[in-house]
Amino acid sequence: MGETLEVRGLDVDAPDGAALLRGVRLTLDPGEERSVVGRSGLGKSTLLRTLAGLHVAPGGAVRLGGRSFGDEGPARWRRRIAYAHQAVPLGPDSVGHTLARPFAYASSRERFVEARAREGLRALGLDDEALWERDAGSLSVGEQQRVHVLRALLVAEDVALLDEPDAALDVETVALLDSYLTERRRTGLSVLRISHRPAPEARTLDLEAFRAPGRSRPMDGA
Amino acid sequence: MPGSVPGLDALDVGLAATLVLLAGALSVAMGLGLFRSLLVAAARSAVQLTLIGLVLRWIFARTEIAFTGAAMLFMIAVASRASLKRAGWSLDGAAPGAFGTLAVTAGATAIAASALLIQADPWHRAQVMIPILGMLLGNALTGISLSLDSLLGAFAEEKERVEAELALGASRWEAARAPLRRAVRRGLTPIINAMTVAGLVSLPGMMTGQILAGAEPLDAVRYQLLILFLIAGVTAVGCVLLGAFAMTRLIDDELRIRSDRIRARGEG
Repeated sequence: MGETLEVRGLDVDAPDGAALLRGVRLTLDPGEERSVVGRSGLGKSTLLRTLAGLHVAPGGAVRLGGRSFGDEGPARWRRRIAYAHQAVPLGPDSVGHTLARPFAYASSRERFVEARAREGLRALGLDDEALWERDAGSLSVGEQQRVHVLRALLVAEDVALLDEPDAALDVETVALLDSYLTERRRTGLSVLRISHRPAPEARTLDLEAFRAPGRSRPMDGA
Repeated sequence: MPGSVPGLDALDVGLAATLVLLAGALSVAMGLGLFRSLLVAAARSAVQLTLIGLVLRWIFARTEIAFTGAAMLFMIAVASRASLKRAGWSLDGAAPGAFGTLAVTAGATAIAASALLIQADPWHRAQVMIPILGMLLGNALTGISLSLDSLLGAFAEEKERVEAELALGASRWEAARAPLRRAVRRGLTPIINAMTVAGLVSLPGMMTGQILAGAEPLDAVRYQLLILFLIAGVTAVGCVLLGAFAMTRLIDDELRIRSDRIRARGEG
């Protein structure tokens, strides 16, 4: 599985309508991982939200294997290109139900495979036996973030959009996340993540290049 | 048969009003600063209730269905406005939903109760229909606005929770299942409490009125139960209907959350 994500001339506006980015270009092949970089306020999260269709783009084209958001319909689109917010409080529901829930949605084409979910928890350094029945809302912030990111990685058919998936994780856990992402990418899943860590230039998408004209540099402005 | 109690004249009410003055005197003595508010509130209650009494007398004297119908529509319109205003958040475009919800729940239930259960003669008799509708609206309103408040609060304050589900391909109803369930639960709490303590803490208002008017207590009980059960049904269906309507405004057809349609009400 996995098809190429093509972004052409995409414009991104802030929720209040202010222009953030203009003409964003990106090609993300199956199995590829890119880090979105750029200063705070530039529009990194808004770009990911726009790609997921959670936010309206004033212009440009986004295609996944040649098909658009409109072609697929919102729910199917988001199965193919799933987005995980940076920090979402989970619960009240067990970790197991939280992971299984999206597979009960009408847009799902796959059945929930418990073994795969448990394997994912273990890969991210979580004790699946101890956590499975526990209320996800009672976990620590770092544990919740891993469950939340894992959910998107299990659901995503083509692309996973991860908003700072490592924000609440320590160095060792970040390494576990990276190796789990590598493993998932071998199956053809591509990953676009927001990151503050340095990465090779070929693997980054620097939004500074697409900053909307006339917009003050985020550090100078508000 | 117990006889009805004698009527009151203006002097009786005037004597009772001296108690308001007593409350006002206490306010002055304790420096509560409520003297004016008390007098204004008492005067308002006198003027408003007298006016409503005159209007009701006028409507009850008419047998035409159009008068009753117009009065019912007016009551539903006022109640739907109030149900929206009581929630801590306002939702653009909610007015038709609130009106429709109360019309098909409270309105239809009042008609059915009057025509089929109470078997008023004629079936649309204003003296039956209007008080029943008034009680249904007044009580269901509390639950429905609590429920709406809970739902809008979930979208205003925990938007990411709902959006996280949408982001993984949830439909509108799949994403909103949890907040909608919570909202309906919250809306049903007051009527469940009211039924639980009915008769223990105080006698419900309608029953008290009927007993004072000379009704046999068990007859009054039957009327009161009828009303409580109707309120429970109207509240439950009302919370679900208005919640469902609100969902279509809160999550649009592209399955995006429309926070721009919610606004917090200013304090006061």
